[in-house]
Amino acid sequence: MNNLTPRLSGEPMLWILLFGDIALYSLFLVFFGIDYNAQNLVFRESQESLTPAFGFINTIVLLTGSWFVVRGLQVLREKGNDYAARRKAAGYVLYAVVCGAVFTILKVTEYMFKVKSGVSMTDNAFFVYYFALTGLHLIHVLIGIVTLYYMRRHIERAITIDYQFLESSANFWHLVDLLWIMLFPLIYLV
Amino acid sequence: MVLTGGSWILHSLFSERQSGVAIAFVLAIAVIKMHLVLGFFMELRFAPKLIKWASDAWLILLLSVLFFLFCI
Repeated sequence: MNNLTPRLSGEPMLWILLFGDIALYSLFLVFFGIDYNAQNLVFRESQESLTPAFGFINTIVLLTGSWFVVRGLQVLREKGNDYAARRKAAGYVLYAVVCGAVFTILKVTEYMFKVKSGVSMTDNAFFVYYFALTGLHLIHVLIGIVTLYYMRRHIERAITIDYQFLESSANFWHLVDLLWIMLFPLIYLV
Repeated sequence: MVLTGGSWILHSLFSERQSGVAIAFVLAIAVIKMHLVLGFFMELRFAPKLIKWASDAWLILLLSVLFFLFCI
């Protein structure tokens, strides 16, 4: 890739959706911050009942998944339409799908622990944010897994590789990563 | 991943007392990670300057607002 020529990875119109999603999440986090200040004690007590290990492991899992997607695209760019390269790239995308599945399983397990311990979305403002923001993110993860599935299918079956489609799919998956990086410290750590 | 580990260690060290400095570091680490994901994974480092500047401006604005809300 020529580093001197500016280019936007993927479909330019998708970036409007990506930036819109990021802006919306930023706004949610600002509201979260305002309520955090207004009900500091409630937020801190509720936050202490969470298990940061879940959030930490999920961050590692998502970052690993994103790295696999990046490696898959790199292999295709370096070796092009070669059959072996396609198989290798498809393998990397499959590993990313596995990472997405692990994230989903961990998140659902965390929800189950919370519900079993008697916590619900209606308990207080913190848990409204916790379930709404992480739940909305989980929907993004599920959409991302479907996107990765089509990405892998394209790599395996397409006659000519459409790099713009692959980059767009990869960018959506990286968005999932980006949103989690925003959520993890605020929900679990601060 | 190292940065994620760093923010968790900071949280573990300072979870007993609500340290503004530790929170500021945790937020800064998150913004650095977001900058790296945008630049290297989403390849914004190759994007036209205007888009790079816009994303950097957004990150700085976000960090400032969150810093104001959580640390002051």
